[in-house]
Amino acid sequence: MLFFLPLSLIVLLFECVPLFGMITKAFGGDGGFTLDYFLEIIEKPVYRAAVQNSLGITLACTIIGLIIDFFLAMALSRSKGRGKALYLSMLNLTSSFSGLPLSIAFITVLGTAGVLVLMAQKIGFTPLANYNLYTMNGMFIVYLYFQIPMGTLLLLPTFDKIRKEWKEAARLMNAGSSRFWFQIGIPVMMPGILGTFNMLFSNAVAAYATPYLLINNNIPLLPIKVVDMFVGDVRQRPELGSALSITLLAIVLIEIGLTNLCKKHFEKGTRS
Amino acid sequence: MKEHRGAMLAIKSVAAVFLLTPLVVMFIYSWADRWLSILPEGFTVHYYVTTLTNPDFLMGILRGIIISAIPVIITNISVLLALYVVMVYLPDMEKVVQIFCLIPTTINGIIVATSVLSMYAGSGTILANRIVMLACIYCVFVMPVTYQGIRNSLYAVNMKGLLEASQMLGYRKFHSYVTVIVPSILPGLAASALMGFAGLFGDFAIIKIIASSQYETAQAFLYRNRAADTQELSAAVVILLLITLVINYAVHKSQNKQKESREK
Repeated sequence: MLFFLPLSLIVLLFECVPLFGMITKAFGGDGGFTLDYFLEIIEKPVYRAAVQNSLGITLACTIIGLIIDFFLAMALSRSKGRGKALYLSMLNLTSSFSGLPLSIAFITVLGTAGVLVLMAQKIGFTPLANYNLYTMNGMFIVYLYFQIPMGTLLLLPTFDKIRKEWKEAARLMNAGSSRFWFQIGIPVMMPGILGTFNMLFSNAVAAYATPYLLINNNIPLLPIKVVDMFVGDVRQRPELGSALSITLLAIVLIEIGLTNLCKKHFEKGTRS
Repeated sequence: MKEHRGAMLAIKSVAAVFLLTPLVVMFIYSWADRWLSILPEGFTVHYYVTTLTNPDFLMGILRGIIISAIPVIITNISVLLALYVVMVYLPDMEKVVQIFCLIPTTINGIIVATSVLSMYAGSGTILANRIVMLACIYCVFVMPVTYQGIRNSLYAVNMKGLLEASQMLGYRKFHSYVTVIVPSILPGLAASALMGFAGLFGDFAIIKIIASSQYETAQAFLYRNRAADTQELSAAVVILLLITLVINYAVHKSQNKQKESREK
């Protein structure tokens, strides 16, 4: 039993107790049950905007990222040999390029005095010359960047499930390539695709370093607001922060629940 | 489906250009003397020299290594001990251990860090010490990858059979767990430990919340100097990336080693 002690201590002291504390704070603090903090999140435009912005950028970059990942993984599943190995190691390398270093790299490339921006100004290419990295739309590209290598690496194994014979059979029955993918390929791969969606979603919704460095508090985002309530320069409000944390957690849990429902539907489909 | 070959090549090329551009620019930028127009002007090692002789940066790397390595070691030992008990005496408990070890994959680092901070910050115990707090949160943070690595390795070596064999030879179970099982899963263990280490070494959010001013790691150093000379910053980023690259290579090596030893 003594062998259980170290792990139980870590789990108890740094998972269970703090989470329990967070829940009690969010729902009342010093006695009494209250939903005030959650009402505040719904009512105050700042927090509502933070939730909406976080959901918006996360969904957008996850969906667009997933579409790119899908085609990239498809292309990779058809290539072989050294070229593929090289491409995979590039994906591995870029998947570990994240957080603060990645944001700094994007500032160097696309920031106000970024290399590409300066180049575009010299040759008069306006869309790039006026690129503004420090907005939601501008920051989107960084979010997309960290979705691509990870998603592609996660999706690649699911392409192995598609057997060559199925494609041949579909073609014999006069089904075109797009029809094959929409009616056979994608449904078969759906559990894998949804699993990847989960990973990309929870990765993006909790991203902190990138928005903190690029937009900080100019545009409200959920993770930044959560942290501000505990260590911010302005008035700290741990109770509201806990409620915001629970909101963030709820978003992730709802998303996982929804994808699980979808997954069940498709798994049923493959069985029958 | 040969008709799509062109499109497939196009998407691979576009993605590669997109992914490599920031890397390549950072790399060239850190060597360039000046880069204010289309092409960089002149090359210099100046920025690497100043970055690599900057004691703050070097200390930051060292602090980063220490604060990442200690939690990885603690978590590995804790999970190894717990899984020993689970596998040998309490197979029913496996599900419970799994749930608790995988919780941090859903509850992200920011939530764990802020909740721990508000729980213990003014408690006056040793847990209120920011560095202790940081190390403990990191332990939670690496638990999922550690658990999965160790569990998969333990299943791969037929632990039960090995332990029974050594018991018949007169060794105590735990003794043979430490001297036979653990060494045989070491490559897999090393791979997951290094992955966890790389995750911690690249962390910025948790350190920012808990202890950015008391304990400045290389990431915190980057943040503090974000407004400084971008070329020096690029050199620092390239150096950090190289460290990650070395860790990744080591992960790859130990995974291959594990595969080889399994094939034998």
